[in-house]
Amino acid sequence: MAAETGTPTTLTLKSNDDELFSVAESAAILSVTIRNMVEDGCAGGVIPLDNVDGKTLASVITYMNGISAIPADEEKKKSYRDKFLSDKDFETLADMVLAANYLNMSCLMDAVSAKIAQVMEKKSVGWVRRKFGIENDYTPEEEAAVKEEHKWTFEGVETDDDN
Amino acid sequence: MATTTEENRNIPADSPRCEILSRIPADLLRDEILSRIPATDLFRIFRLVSRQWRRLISSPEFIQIHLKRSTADETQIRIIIADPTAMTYYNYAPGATKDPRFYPYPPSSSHRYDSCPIILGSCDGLICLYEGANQRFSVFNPSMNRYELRLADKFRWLFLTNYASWFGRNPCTGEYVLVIGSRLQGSHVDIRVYELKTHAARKSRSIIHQKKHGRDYKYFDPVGKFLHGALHWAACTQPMNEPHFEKKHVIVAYDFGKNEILEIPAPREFPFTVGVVDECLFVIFGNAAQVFELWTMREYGVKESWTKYANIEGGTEGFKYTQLLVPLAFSSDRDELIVDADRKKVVKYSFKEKKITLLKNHDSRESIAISYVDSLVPAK
Repeated sequence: MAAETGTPTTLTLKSNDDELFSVAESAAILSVTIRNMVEDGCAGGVIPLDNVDGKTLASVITYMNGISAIPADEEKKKSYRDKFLSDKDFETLADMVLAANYLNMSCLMDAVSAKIAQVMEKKSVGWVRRKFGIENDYTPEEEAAVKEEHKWTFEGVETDDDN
Repeated sequence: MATTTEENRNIPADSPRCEILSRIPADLLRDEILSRIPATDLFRIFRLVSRQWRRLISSPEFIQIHLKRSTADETQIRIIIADPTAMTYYNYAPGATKDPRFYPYPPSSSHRYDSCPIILGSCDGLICLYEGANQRFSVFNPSMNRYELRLADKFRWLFLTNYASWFGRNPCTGEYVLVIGSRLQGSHVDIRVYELKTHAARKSRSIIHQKKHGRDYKYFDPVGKFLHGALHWAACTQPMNEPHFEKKHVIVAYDFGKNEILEIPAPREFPFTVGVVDECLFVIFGNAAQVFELWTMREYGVKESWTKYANIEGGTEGFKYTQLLVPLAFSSDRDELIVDADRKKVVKYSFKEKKITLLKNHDSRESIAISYVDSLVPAK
């Protein structure tokens, strides 16, 4: 744990493609995974994060620093998170959700998951299949039957373009 | 923590970016991502993605996870109003489209277009409706647009003009039930709990009921509010051939566990409505000066704990000729309250700005508005 001398402790994190990052311990322990390592005294040297690549880890560290610089004000934290995620593409968000899961960062997890869900809303079936690399395993008859189940209902509801 | 499961198969080898999305473990996808997508999109679009996604979305576990998240999300306020020709749906989420969506009554319904189906209650995204003309019950999920007829065995409805209703899960059994409070011949109040059966299960019968003698109530708002294992209705006691009878304003409470009818005193002797916010009962009444006051009961059942929270002022337009404000929903920051004013109009009130915004005028005096949550809970 941080010594009481006043100098902030810095940790060194290593991504799975061997990039090294320095980050203040106070920011890094937003990750429960890292906090556990620090508390167990395993954070003396370099902390290897085998499931996160350098590009994603850089992004996560930007988030750690940004959010921990904001005092306890949920509104401001929320608007920081919104801004932080606003320019991320869908694949980057997927990387981040995996990283947040591995690092056990619930606030990032919630924000990224919500953002992914928001992007997915109103998207077409084809879009989802392409993005997730899922093959259509329905027979045409089955697919028609599933569509039939909500036939009465959704006439006139629009979806986004198929792209 | 989520672990990778063998469910992530279909990965095209030539697509490294797709590979990342496919690497999202199934339980992470389900619990964190799909659970945040509106039920309508899940039901209509995402079920068509693949057999695995359909299984996942239809599974009772997922339906519960989705419901829990949806119920906890107070930024989404959904209101449905049953008018004679259609039900109108509103979502007051920040940034959500303000355009209402209309649900015409289903073709299978024998609903008469000159009257409204009566909304008896709403729970877990299901709305319970009663068609007075042909005495039929149905359960409706607006998010999925599923509508199913139900049966209430030995149903007795004596006074359509003065009744209490509720639809939800019986806290003792977890089953969906319909509760109706009505008056019986003579001088007692009767509260009955009906299991709402599908046609397939119509043989089983069970009704719980409780009477309270020497009492009659006038209910100000028929739809009960659930708190601490009991239902609550705003009412006043009616004279029953007693000399020197004094009218009393009370919250009539029905406790499921004890099967008891209780009375909780209202803070003042004015016609009022009741609601629940942050695990507290609250009431709204127009005082002698025709200003609406909102009071909360800080400690459940303790009369002395009634505390005035705020006035509801409407300015000149305001609520001048309004008798009752039925609370439908609070915004997540508790600044805004959506109310049904005398079943004439649904409005939003801001405590901070002391401002009223009209959301919708009712098409009929019979129309009932209610709030509900987005869910995949089947109407069946």
